[in-house]
Amino acid sequence: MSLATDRLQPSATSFDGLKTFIRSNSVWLLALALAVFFSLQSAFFLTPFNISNVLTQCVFVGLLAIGMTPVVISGNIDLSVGAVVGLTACIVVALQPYGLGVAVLAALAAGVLVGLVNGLIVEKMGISSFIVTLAMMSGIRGLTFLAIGDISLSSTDDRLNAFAMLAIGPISIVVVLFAGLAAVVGFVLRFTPHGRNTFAIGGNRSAAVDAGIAVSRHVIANFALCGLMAAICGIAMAANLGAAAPSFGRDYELLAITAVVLGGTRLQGGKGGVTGTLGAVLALAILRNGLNLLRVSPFYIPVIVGVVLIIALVLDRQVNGQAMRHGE
Amino acid sequence: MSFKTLIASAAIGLALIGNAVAAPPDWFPKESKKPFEEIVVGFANLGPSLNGYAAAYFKAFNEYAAELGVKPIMTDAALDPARQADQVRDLIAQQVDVMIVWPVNGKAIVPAARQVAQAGIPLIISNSMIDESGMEAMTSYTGPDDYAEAQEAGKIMAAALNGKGNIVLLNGTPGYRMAQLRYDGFMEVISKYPDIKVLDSQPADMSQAKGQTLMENFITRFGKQIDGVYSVDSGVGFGALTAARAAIQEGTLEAGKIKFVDATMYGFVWDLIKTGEYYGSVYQSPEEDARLALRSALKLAAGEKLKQFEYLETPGVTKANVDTISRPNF
Repeated sequence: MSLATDRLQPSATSFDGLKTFIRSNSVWLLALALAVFFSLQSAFFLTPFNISNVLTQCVFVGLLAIGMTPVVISGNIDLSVGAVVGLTACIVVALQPYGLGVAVLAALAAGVLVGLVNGLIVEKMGISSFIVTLAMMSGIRGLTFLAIGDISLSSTDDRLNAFAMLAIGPISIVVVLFAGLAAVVGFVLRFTPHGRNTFAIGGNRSAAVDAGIAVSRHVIANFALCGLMAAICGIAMAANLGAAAPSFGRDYELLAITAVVLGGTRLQGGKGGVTGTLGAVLALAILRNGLNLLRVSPFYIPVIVGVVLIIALVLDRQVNGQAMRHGE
Repeated sequence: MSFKTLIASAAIGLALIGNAVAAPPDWFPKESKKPFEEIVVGFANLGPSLNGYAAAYFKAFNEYAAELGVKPIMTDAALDPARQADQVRDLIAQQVDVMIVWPVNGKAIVPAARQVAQAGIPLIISNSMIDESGMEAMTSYTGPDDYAEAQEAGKIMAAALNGKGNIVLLNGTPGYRMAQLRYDGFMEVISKYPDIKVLDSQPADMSQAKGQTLMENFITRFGKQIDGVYSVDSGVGFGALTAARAAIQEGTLEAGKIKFVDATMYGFVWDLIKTGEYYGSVYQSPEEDARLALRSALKLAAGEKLKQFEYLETPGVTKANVDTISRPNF
């Protein structure tokens, strides 16, 4: 099972070590470069308030991207996460009259359920995850609008918003929670049999089947984890905004996939990791925040984000392309 | 003229020119907390892609800012309430002197608005009200007064019917503050006319299709009894008119008998008021809305006290004055 463990192997020479470091951390270097650039350009960038802003701004897309990473590594994609955010945000607010605990558990369960259904259809029917989750995205969004209507719900239990506003110094509790979840998912991917099997399935599915790996079980588990992370994102968003609407999380699946890809996870599967995704989430948040601080017209910001993504992927191809072909 | 006076007058002249470049407008308070040209306005807007009204608003806002010589910091939330909250925090980080927010979602903006207040930044909510739970964070609201618009529509309806007749109401989405105000304001005026009877009142939300369906049902139930239709806005009103047109073709209704009135005029209804097919509406100018927001923001930054609600003028429009009102481009 050495398909994905190249980054873990000790390097032969220090030069190779440096190359490996740059290769597996290029997006962190990008984040660092952006941070240096914006701190030189704006006096507000390195203020504690703004650092706390940037970290908080990582959380929503970050939760989705961390959940998406194992799905993509195992060779699939989940387009339904944005819709799950809308659904679970509405559940956690609408069910508050039954108790906050019930509301949170119901939202988490809904997310896991959507993930399980996604995984089951993909694995048992053999339909492409792109199609399955595209249909799920549209279905879930529609159902949420049907149930709630085109309105927004106010959170009635103040504990939810009060929790989201807690902070340790400048670091919001939501950021701490996010970092903890990222660490757990990262650990599972790197150091457990499930993680190793996930890489194996994405790298070469038929070889994984031949090796006796219970492929379906691992793929379904990753979809369920992805649904769970989307539900946590929905709850966090409702908590942070003190409200929920069926439109919450619209287009977030695309932001999450952007971060996963920028973080070096291969869309075809078999390669990638949480560390890279995390760096990409941070780099994108720094880029958006910094452009706002530099008073760049809001219309240029999506364009700049798109251009940076393409440049980063081209550079990544230059640095890693050769190695990738070797690995295949 | 001595050399000294020449120098002096040249200096004064130069100073005047220098002043002219960044001269504050005459409505700007003389004793400002901060010089006019140093005021930084932050504007967290929901995005011009919402509709034609929003597009016209942002165009006018930018033009007015350029005309005044101020450079507001604009952010675009692209209709995402979570992103808007982030952007409001980005503007707090930049220590803007005053902030304008056009909320994507009146409820979801409340926590971010409270942070603006905590940072001591005066906050203007423009065009759409913040939820009442967050009103204490807001310094002023600028924009349309839905109640007054509906009252104006009520007056137009009463005049159209000469104070006597049967009407049906197509309201906004239940639970929305705006919908309630546009109902209450209209009814406040109409209730003064004992001979105007409300046959029925239904929520058409803000949907043209729903307005048409509901009107079809009203025509089936009440037929020729209907003398007037009041709609929450021109979109719904146009849906109702479409239903009536079909009934007129079938001979179920008489042409020109029903008076159509609504509370916010769109461009296509302006055209129909001109031809006389639609009776009247209420004009809300996106350009004035934008200018009012920026003007109020600059006054607040200067330290001037504003009313909690700074309302936009919203005149009634009928065939009599439609030519004096520019056609809305939305």
